[in-house]
Formats: sequence, structure tokens, C-alpha cells
Amino acid sequence: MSKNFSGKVVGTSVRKIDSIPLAMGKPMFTDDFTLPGMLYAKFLWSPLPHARIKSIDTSKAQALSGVHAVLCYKNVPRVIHTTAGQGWPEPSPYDAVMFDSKVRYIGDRVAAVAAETEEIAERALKLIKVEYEPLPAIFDLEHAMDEGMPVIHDEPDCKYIIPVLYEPQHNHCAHIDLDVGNVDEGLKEAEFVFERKFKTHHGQHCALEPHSCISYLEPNGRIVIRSSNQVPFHARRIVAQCLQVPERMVRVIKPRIGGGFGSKQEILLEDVCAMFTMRTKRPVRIVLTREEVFVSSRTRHQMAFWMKTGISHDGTLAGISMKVLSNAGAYGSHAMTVMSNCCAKTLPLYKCKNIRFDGNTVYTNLPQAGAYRGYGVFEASFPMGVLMDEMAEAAMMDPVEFWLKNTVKEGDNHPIFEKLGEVGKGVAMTIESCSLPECVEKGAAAFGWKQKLEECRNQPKDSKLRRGVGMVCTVQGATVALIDMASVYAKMNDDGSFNLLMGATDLGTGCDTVMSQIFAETLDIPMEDVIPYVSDTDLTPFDKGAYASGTTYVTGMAVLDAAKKIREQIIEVAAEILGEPKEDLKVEKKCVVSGKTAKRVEYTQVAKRSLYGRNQHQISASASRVSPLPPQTYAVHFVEVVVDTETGQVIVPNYVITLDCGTPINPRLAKGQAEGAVLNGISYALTEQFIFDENGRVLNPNFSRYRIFTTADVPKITAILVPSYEPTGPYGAKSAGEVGINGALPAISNAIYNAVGVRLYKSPFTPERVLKAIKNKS
Amino acid sequence: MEITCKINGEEKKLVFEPHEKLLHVLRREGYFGVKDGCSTGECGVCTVLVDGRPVKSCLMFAAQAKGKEILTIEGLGSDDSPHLIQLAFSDAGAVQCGFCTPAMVLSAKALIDSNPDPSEDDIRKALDGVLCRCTGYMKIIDAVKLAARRTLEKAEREAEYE
Amino acid sequence: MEFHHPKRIGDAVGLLRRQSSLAVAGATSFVRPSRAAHLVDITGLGLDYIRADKKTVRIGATTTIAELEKSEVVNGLASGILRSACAGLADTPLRSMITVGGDVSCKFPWANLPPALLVLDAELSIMGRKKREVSMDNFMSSRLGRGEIVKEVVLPRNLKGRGSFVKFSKTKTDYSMITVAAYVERDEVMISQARVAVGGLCKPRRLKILEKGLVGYPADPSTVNDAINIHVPELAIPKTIFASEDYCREVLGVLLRRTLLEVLR
Repeated sequence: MSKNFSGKVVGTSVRKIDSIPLAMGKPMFTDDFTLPGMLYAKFLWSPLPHARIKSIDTSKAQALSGVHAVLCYKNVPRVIHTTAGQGWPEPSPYDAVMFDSKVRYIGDRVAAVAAETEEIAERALKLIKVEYEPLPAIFDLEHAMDEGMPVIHDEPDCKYIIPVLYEPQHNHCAHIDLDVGNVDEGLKEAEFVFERKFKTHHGQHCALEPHSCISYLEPNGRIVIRSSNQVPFHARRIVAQCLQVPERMVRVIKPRIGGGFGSKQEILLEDVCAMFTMRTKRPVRIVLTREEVFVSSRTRHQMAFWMKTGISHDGTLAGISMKVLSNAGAYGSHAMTVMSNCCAKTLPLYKCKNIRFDGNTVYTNLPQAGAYRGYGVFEASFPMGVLMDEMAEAAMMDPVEFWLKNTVKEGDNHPIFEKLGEVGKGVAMTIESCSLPECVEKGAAAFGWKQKLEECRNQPKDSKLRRGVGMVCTVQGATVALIDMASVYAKMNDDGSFNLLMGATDLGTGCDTVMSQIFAETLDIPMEDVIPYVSDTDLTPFDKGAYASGTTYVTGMAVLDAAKKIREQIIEVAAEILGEPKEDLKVEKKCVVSGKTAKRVEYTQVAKRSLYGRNQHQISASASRVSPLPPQTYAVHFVEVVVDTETGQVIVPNYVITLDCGTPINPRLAKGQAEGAVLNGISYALTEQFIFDENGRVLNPNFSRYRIFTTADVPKITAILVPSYEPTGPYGAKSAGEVGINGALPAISNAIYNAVGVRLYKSPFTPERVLKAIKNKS
Repeated sequence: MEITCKINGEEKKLVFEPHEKLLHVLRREGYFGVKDGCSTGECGVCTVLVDGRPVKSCLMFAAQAKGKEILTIEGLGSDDSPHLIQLAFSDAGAVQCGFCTPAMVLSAKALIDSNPDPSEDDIRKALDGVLCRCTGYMKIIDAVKLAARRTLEKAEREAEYE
Repeated sequence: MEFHHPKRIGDAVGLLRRQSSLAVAGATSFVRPSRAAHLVDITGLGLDYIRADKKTVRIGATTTIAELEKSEVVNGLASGILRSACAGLADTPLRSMITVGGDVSCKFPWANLPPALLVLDAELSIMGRKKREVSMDNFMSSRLGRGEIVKEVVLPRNLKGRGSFVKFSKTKTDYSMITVAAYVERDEVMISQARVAVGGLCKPRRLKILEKGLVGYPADPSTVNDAINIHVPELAIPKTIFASEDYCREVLGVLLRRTLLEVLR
């Protein structure tokens, strides 16, 4: 049963707390900060896709005036680890070391220099002499596991620290399989069966702020890291691990982050930066150039899907078989978990009893893949979204009707929930919040679906520019259930204001604001009375970090708990002041009021009494929450395209997305998330593309040649919120960060089909590919 | 080498190497609101106004600032009184991570100063040199529309008093 | 390295005649650190102007693309072909940095102005030790001598025909992948003058053989189609990492056809 929540602060589009300082250009980002004596570090990157380092001579570089330290595999401890910012024990293979005696892709780390200026560091890099023994390389994910292929991770110490299948000797770095019901039987009985192969491509996050890190020593010898990082607590743990120091010797501070989208859910710079600080005793700064971000940070996993689906005579899904091969690149950060979500967080959208999933991730000598918004659901939504359209056509149903018929509803559960989560076994869940049918209906109406379908059907046969429309439903489960944990600490100040200390990681998403709204709602105070502080491993309690669409849902519940505890304490003190039983008291507009006598006492009086008056104590509370479930956020996407049939170019004039994120704590912020995610999906589908040469070198590592949209290209994007109520979430909220990106790829493919009658199963839908498909058809 | 120019209304002497670009010199001088997203003129977050024109400061040589008037984001608004455009960005929800915001705000200022009643196409064109990955641009375009409207209204109110 | 701000053209020329000396205007092509010994800022020489007299429009070399785009007198030439070329050039901040002289002299394949200026049969006035005039056409296949800079672009004012410019790229502010410019004069029946230029795929140049297939022929779609079908398959298409040769050739044909049909309307 849904009930929509509407509160005083929750559910209102309050101003994003940091928006004005950001609009004023205040120095709030990692690199807006210099320290006396700061050194600048630069990396030497591998020029070869696969090679052993036969010899490396850093002596000339060390000797250069102004150079303070040079690091390579010879002078750093070999600590095998994963760079993936995930909870411990990490579900990614331990296959990375700070510097290795082997390189595995063009752009891999070879060495690094810390010097007094960037220019000196760059000159020093040129003085490092490396002799390589080139090895054969493999780039094609479909052949990486073949017999006789070069072994990328042949080091004896690579491993997982959880018991999963891992066969690096075959370049095989992750495997998940699942069987529910009986797919073979189901498809045998099916009226129509579809067997298709799909392929997605390498893309990148393109956060405008490059990866940045500054580290320095505190007087007591502790290492402080200030970094543009989505996972400060995981960073602390993994940096300590790499430096072989106790965790208590490391502090990670997260300032404002200029976008992340998953690219900063990694320990990408912090280990080397901190090592330099440890060795030189000086502050050290590392900021990647844009080219280095493109090549040596992280990409989306490229994936190939072999699908088999079918529908019964009554238009219901008879079975889904998904076989996926995911390309990890040279290292396996997030290799298993992204692939797992192709099933775990994608397929529970569909009402289907027979599901088979066979997933494998492989190593290749290409830039490393990692976490990226959508995280497996984005990729797997492509084959599912297109196949649903094909099946709707075979069933002679409007896709809108077909999706409504074959997707889950409130009250449903799904066999996959229990069998598989993002990390291993999942959690059984009944869907308690789902406004998907309403999302479909409202989206179709706002978009003008029926009318546009008709117009497209009636357009002149010979028009060179052809219009088409397409739609899909998408889902994203929030959090890694039973694993993700968030905690907060709050305390009351003299004037009735509150400090809210959270480990949660705002990266532009506005979680500072959203968490403050939840806190303010519970205590019935204005936003200005909440002082959020994020995130610092010394001062704020643990939070897993910003990923898996988890902050609003899990951190939000912790905030709610802490606020309730504080409310109780305030009422206790007020009861003393008023001389009334606390059962008769409630909070109201920064006061505690008696329901019986109408007597009231202000929060500031309560605070002063508790701090200075009687029974002095600090009114404060901490709270921790583990995500109990992965509640699903739903989105329905409607897109209009115009295809130039002579050049193959596809323009998107119009996109509507309807979104069910439970209660939108801040509607404007939620819409902003959806709009940004949608545009990212559109440009990925059409214009973004890594181009590799035959050695896996990135030929277009810059914004000139890797195109994302500007205001000149962006379509009209309309985001409409369709609230539901998630009982396990704070004030009914779920999270909203990722689902918006998952629809563009399949919806645009469907719209192109609607326009010109060709199905595209391989992304991106470049003009050349589209034109070729059009020509092949005729 | 050394040049003098005006930055945010203040006479400034800048000292730098001849090959240096304006962006790095500005940041060194403490203007951290001028951002470095690529250093190659491809992302636009380094945009400042030079004699009222939007310019990518990572391409312009610092030496070319000689005798010019430069406006960085720090020159717009004050803590007590943010600029009308900055407020509009905040009101419209156009600020997410904020890394592109200074460049967007300055681009909007250049537009509104020369075209007080811009159409949506005018706005899209004026901002087409600054990349944003967070917002999808919708609310940024809304913010500029809002700012233009408020600027006109303010001018009308001020004209009334005269 | 030394940076110079000359105030007089003669001084600029003298500085540019030195060894390892480069002219700087918009600075947009100075992306990597320059190794030049001398950088000479030519934006202080008073070359940002657009002047029209009865016969010509003269555009100073340091006029920015933004200024050119706004010019009404320039927009009045050949159906506003130069405004189209400007509008599709890079993005707003770059348009207020890139200069006409820069876009013309750097000879990048993706430069938008050269194809448009080629079909308008523009002339360039070059300053150096000696002043000289050169047609845009000859300029594209020759080099500036030591110490020479483009002083102004001269356009004929009395253009009777129609012009059109089109750019093909992945996104709107992208480098041009293919540019096509066309200028055609016709009477009731026949094409009397045709100039066609292409860029993006190659350094901008005129397609003179294609032009021969148009001039003196009936002003109708079949002339255009025939000319394209005969000559486009013969064109050498340079390699690009973004698309195959076949595709580029095909789209070039499409763009040529669309542009020419547009100007023949």
C-alpha cells in the first residue's frame, strides 16, 4: 500500500546547502589548497601493452636538482591489494601492487617522481631508463580465455580474499552463475524465441575535476590525505595496507568533489601520494592531467551478451537466458560485482520464473575498468530493453502494454533477490514500494507516446529525416544489502543548532542537504540549524562511501535514528525544565511543547540547561545502519529520435523520464540527478567512444575527440517524479543516483528501429553504424 | 616577465614565465575559482571574462592579459550579497558538484550583459563552451533564464526610481 | 623565451623575422608548451576591423570569429555563408579568441573559414618585408614567408550568386569532420559560375574538376547529381580514426548534393 509522504522539510526543494559558495567559486576542492614546501608528483606510464621490466634505472632522475624521491617496484613494498573502494573483505581480486615489475596496458604505472615543481618532475621522468621485454598482448574480450593466450596476471600472489572462482591463468577473473526455474523448458514451450548477441563499449565518466590528491604529515607523524575520493574510509584502509602502517596512522579528508560517477570509487593516487609523503616528509600533490584521466584512471566495462528470451502465447515472458562476458581491462577492480549486477539488480524487474545467468569477466591488456554509474545494470539493460521491444512487437502489443504486463508490481517478490546480490548471496525481499505502472502511464502521457507513435507511422515513406520513438523501463537496486553500513554522529549546540557529522560522501549529489533535511524534519527545525560536516575519517563515523545508490537510503536511516535519539534526550531535559512527564511532550518548531498544558521551552533553553545548568551532559547521539534490503528504484524512459537516413546521424530532440525513488526528499535535487544521468546515457549511446589502436593505445584521450554533449546538443529532458513509499527507507525514500542512466541505450535503439526499421545491437550508434544498418536492410 | 592588468577591478602586477598561460598564473595568485579541467581548451571550466568577452584562460597567454580587465568568479558578488546570477543558479538547482559553475556563471554574465533578453537558443549557444557532466544542463539553462528575467526586472525597478 | 607586444606592424614583422619566432593572436593553437624563442602578440596592431567600401569588404586579420559573425555587412554576402561558417566554428569562448587570420593561416583541416573564403574567391593581403596580395586559393597551397603575417582578408562586395556552408561533426561544437562550401551564380537556365570547396577530411581546397562539371550546365538537380557521381568517387579521402574511407566519401557526396541543391534553389 503506498502512501506518499509530505513533510515540512522532507519533500521540499530546499536550496542545496553548498550551492552559493560553489557559485561564488570558493576554494573548496582538493587542489584549491597549497601547503608550504609542497612537492609535485608525476607518473611514468607504460608505453607497451604487456611487458616485463627487465631493468629500470632511476639514478639520473634522482640526481636531478629539485627531485626529492623516485618510486618504482624496486623501492616500495610489494603489497598485493585491490584498488576497488569496496567493503572489506573486498569482492574484487587482489591483483594490483603500487608498482610492479610488469606492465599490463599502455598507461599502466611504471614509476613516479616527486619534485619541487611539475616541470622538474616531468624532466625527471624523461631521465628514467626502462628496458622492457615485450610480451604478446590480448585485447579482444571474446578470445581472452582461449587456449594459448598470454597470461596477464601470472604473478603467484594474485588472489581473491573471499572464496570465489578465480582462474587468472586463463585470464579469467570472475564468474557468477545462477539458475532459477527451468529456462530450457520455458523456452521450449515459448511461442516466440529470440536469440541475440549484444555488445557495449568502453566509455568514461568525464567528471570535470580530474583525480586529485594532496598528502602531508601531521606533527605526530600521522599521514593526512586530502583527496577527491568517493570512499574515504576504504581509502584509509587500503592506503594503510599498501604502506604497511597501522590504519590509525592514516587520516583521509574528503573536500568537495568535482564529480565522480564511480571513477573515484578507487584508490587511484592516494597510495603513491602518501608513500611520497612518508619518504620525503613533505606535503605532496598529485593531480592527473585530462589525458591521464582518460588513459590511466578507470573506464566502464565493455560487455558482450548472448541472450535467449521467449514469450508464451499469452504475451508473458517464458524465460530469460543471459550470458555475459565483461572486459575488466588489465586489472580486476569491480570485475565481479559489476558483472553480478547484470543479473542481480537488472533481472528482478521482470516477471519471469525461468532465468539463467552465466557471467564471466576477463582480463585484457586494455585500460582498467571500474565502477561507473549503473554498474552492470546499465550494460544489461541494453539487451533486456531491446529484447522486450522485439517481444512486444512479436506479441503485437504496444511496448507500453507489454512492459506493464511483464514487470514486477508492489507486493511481488522475485526469486533472484535471495539468490544473488551485488556481492554474493542476496536477500529475499518483497517489493514494498513500486509506482512503476504509474511511471509508465505518466511518462507516456507527458511524452505524448500514442500520438507520437501515430505521427511516426504516418510520416512520408521517402522522407530523408525520419522520426522514431522508443521506450523502456529500467530499475536499479540500492546498496549492497547486509553489507553496506553508514553511521552518523550528531550533537546539540548552545543556540539550539546541531552538528551532524557524517562519513557520507557528497560528490555533488547533494547528500549534505538531503541528510540535513531528514534531520531537520525529525526535530522540526529549519535547515539553517543543521551544520553538516562530511567527510573525515578522524571526525566522522564510518560510512561506506558514495556508491550503489545508497546514501539517501542507508545514511538517511542512520540520520533518522540519530535524530530520534536526540529528540528523546531533548524531551528528557525539557521534562525536567517543565516539570511534566515526558510522555506529554512533543517537539514543535524548535521547541518542546506540552500537549497537556501548552507550556513550551525552546531548544536553546534545553541546550543551555544541558550544557551549563543541571545534570550537565552533551546531548548527542550516534547511529549506525546496515542496509537491510536493496529496494529498487524504477524509471521509465521515453525518447524521440530523428535519423538522417543519408548520413546515419541520430539527433535526440526530446526525452522524458519518470522516476520512482520512493519519497523524493528533495524533488529538485532528485530531478537534477535524473537529468544528468539521462544525458550521460544519451551521449554514451551516440557519440562517446574510446578508440584503440592495435596495441590498445587510446587514440582519443581528450574532450576534443571523445565527445560528450554541450548545451548546444542537449535535448529537452523532462524528469517527472512519481513518488511511492518505501517503508524501510527514511520517510519512505529510496535512492535516485543511478537509474536515470540505464534507459538511453536501449530506448534509443528502439527508437531508431521505429524510425528506420533496423535494430542496433552494438553500441555506440555512430552515424556510420546506423547508415550501414540502413543500407544492409535495403 | 611582468605585466600589469586589472583583475576584478583591482590593479594587479603579475609575474610569470613568458610561456605560461593565464589559468595557471591566476590560480597561483589565489583565484581558485578558475578551474583546471583539461588545460587544453576543451572543457571550458577555466573560462574568465577578458574585457567582457568569455575566454578560455588555459589557452590565453598570461602575457596577453597586459592592460586588460579580467573578471574571475571571485569578482562577482560578495559573501553578504551574492550576485543575482549566482543566486539564480542556486535557486534553479543548477549547481551539483559546482566545478563548472564559475565558468557557467561568467558565461551567463557575458550573455546577459550583451543581450538582456536572450532566447533559449541564445542561452544554449552562450554556454556551449563549458562542459558539465552532473546536471544535464536543464537547470543551468533554467538558471540563466531566471537570471535574465530578474536582471530585467531589477533594471525596470531601478528605472522607476529615477 | 620572450614575449612581445608590438604596437606597429613594421615592428611585428621585424620581430617575426627573427629565428624561432611565432605570431600569437587568439593563442588557441598553442596547446602544448611552445619551444619558440619569441612569441609576438599581434592583437595590438589595430588589425581588428571590418571595413566596407563600394567594391570590397576588408576584414582585419585579428578580427575575432565572434565579431565576424555579428557583422551585418559580411552577413549580406552570398546568403550569409560566412555567418554559417562562423556559427558552426568551435564554441562561444573560442569564437571570441580565434581570429580570422588565425583560422586562415593555421591551415588546419577542420578550419571553417577557408572553405567559405575559397568559394567567395577571397584575396589575402600579406604583410612582410614586402606587402603582397594572394588569392585564397593560392594561399592554401603556398606558405607564409619568414616574418609574414596575414594583414587582412578582402572579399568582393558585388556577389550576385548564392552561397552555402555546411559542417558535419559528431556534436555541434566538435571539430568539423567534413566541411562543404559552395557558391553558385546562375541565370534562368544555366549555371554561370560555381565554386565548391571541401575541408575537414583534408586541408580545405577547391574541387575544380567538380566545378567544371557544373559551370555551363543546366541549373538543375541532375547536373548536380551527375557531377557528384562522376567526381566524388575519384577523390582521395584521407584516413581518419573515426570513420571508414567509404563512409566519409558517401557523406561527402550527400553534403555536396545538399549544399549545391540549396544554392541552386
